[in-house]
Amino acid sequence: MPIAGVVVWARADQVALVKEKLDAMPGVEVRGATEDDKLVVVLDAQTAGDLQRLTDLVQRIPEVLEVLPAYVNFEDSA
Amino acid sequence: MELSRRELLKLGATMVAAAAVGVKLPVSKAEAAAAEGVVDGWTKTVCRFCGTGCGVMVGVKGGKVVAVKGDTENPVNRGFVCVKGYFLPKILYAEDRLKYPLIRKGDKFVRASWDEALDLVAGKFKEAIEKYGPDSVAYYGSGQALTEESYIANKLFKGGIGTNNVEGNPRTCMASAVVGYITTFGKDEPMGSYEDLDYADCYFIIGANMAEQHPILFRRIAQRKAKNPNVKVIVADPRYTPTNRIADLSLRFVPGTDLAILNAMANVIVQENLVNQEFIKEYVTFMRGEEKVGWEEYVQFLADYTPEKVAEISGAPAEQIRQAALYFAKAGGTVSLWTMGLNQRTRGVWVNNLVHNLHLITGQICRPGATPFSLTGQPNACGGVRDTGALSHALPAGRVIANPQHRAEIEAAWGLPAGKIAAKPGLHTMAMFRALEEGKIKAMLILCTNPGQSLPSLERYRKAMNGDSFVVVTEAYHPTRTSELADVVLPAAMWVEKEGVYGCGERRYQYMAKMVDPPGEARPDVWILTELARRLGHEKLIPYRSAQEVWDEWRTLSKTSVYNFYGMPYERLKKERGLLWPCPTEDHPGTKRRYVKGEDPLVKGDKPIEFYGRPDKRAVVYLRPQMPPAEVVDAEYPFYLTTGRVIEHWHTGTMTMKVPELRRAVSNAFVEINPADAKRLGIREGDPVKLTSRRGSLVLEAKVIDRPREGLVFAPFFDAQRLVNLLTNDTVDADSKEMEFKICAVKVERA
Repeated sequence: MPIAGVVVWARADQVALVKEKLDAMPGVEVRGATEDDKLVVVLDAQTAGDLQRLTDLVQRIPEVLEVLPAYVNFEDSA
Repeated sequence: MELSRRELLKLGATMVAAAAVGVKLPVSKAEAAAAEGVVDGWTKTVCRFCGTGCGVMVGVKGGKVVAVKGDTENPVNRGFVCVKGYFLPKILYAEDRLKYPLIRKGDKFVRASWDEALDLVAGKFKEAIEKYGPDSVAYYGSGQALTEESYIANKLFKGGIGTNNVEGNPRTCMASAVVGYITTFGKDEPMGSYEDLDYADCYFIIGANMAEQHPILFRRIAQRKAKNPNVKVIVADPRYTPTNRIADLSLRFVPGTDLAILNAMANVIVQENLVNQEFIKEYVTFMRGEEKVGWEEYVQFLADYTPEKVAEISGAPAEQIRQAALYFAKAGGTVSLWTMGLNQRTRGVWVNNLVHNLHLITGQICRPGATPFSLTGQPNACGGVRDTGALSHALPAGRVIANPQHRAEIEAAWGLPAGKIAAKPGLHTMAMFRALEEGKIKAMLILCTNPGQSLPSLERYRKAMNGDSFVVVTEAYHPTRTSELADVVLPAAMWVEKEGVYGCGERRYQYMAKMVDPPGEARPDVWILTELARRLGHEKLIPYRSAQEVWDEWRTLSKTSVYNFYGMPYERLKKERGLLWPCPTEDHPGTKRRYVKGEDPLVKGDKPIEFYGRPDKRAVVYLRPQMPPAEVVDAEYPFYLTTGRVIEHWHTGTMTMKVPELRRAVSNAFVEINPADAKRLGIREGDPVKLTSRRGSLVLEAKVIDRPREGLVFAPFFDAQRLVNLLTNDTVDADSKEMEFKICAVKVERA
């Protein structure tokens, strides 16, 4: 069951909205934020495929500029 | 509080992401240590994919790679990876990893022992050399091989066997950039570093889709732009790509008209009095071919390239060309970035020269945030192949075969008798595969690359590889579109299954540690090449027992060259996040900007800048006219085809197509077609479309999208089942011998 740590880069004036949208997504946890426009997010998925889909879903939030992967662990699924 | 294992993994993930953006978390020391301890250990290395050279930390548990995180201490990527890096652990454990040597018997591959396979390979090479001479054998290597591997192969073939038939896939990707740097500045490799991206006010991205192919560097630009609204981004490309997302100015020009556009930009800079005459006076000389000319002749030459005239042939509006020139020249610092869009051309060298021209006439060079920066596609094309001189015309550290003095220096360094290195350059890649086709090459070693999918005009060269000559392939995977054509396939260790050095696009050399064992009987290529050398009777020349011994010899050899990286022993590289050469001594910090006094230890004169690669210490502004591509559209083949990549897949997909998630995301090649063209041809989204060039035809699924300009179609080349290179043109650049992958003429019809 893979887990990823990513930074979600939001449009500076829409950070609160992006956080709200992320909070509503299953498997997504916002665990921190920079003072300006970046959120520290953990993605928790059942399979590597789900992880990829989850990353895509976050990326498709219109106010998200970029999802920046920083960590991935595949120990139960590789 | 006791955390569950899953919570620990999540905490680890949080800590890494938080560290990458400098967020402090309320985590206790015990919790942090526990989160770190979810794997047996973390070791630093470099990503296996593109030429950026991102640092990654690899987590191993029970002898298996289970986790990857961006290395927050590595200045290249500062803790981030891209979507391909995300899936790095998975490439090692693909089902089709080759575990044993294979020998072809009739239509089948049969498992063999290492002795059996290597004896057969050595026997075939010996037989060819004895019967037909050393030039009947050849090596085709890779910008993904370790530096140590390319160094050994080069030494074995040129110094041992006595043939200069040493080539590699960097010929197909950045040979034009190499010759561009050499002709303009006298020496290869960019003078700037990635750090320049953090200081520039203008980015001129031409013929590169950084958002998908160099995403980590692209983000650096995007973040700088987000923080600094005055920063300008110019994207010049016949196709809109995700890179255009951050562009202030998008020049979508007709393929092959880039020489005219660059000259027109220079013309605007001259007309608007934005030329840096002081810089030109000190550091620049003007040339038309080999002939020295003056400033007046340059201005006269440019007069033909008014934005209005160039707009007519290029389709880029005159106002855009003018604006691009103004942004470029007026910025506090401008960085140009390019890749295959400029290099894979029959005038690839010239167009490289013309980018350099813009920097030289404006003085946008050799200071923070101002530099012409050619990006690379492979992780070790620069360090491994360019720098070791593992190409048919080259010798280590910027030396060339054609220069008797250079040959003598290498003969002395390698302990060879005078005259051992053949005076005649070997066959460049296309000539080499044509010689294979003609039966003149009797035995060929292909290492860590996939020419059966990546060469242009593929049908004839696939036939050649499948012909009577003996072809041996070392590969981590089997089958590939190359290994399927081989007589012997040798199982190779990859990435963290072996140790060695990778040198990325900014002259940064980084050490990669061995962390896990390769599968089955797979072995490192250093071992394979050393064993082959021994069987060919060259054990004195290739006596190495470890990659480190090879590195130390190469490091010592670099001492007398402008590549001097003697100050980078393994022990130091194991600690540092890489170092940029020149780096002559172990206490030298490395060089962020070459040719700059006070930064580059090789600058000897008093001037602040010294282009010491050239005899007069001046860089050259070349008068290079617009020239058409080798194939121009006509009534029969009315469309241009250009090829490239998608973010999910790397090169021929041998690694990324093994990752189910990436394969599912983009599973097959497609053809992008402009909506206006699609409407005219009655093609709808998802329709099968037949593309026909003078060399072959192929059916791909249509993606109707306003990305390629009208008259242009685009297809990626990662798909082993749909070989886009059946269509592409094998005509080469006159100077760099690089092929014109980026432009050929095709017919487009609904299948």
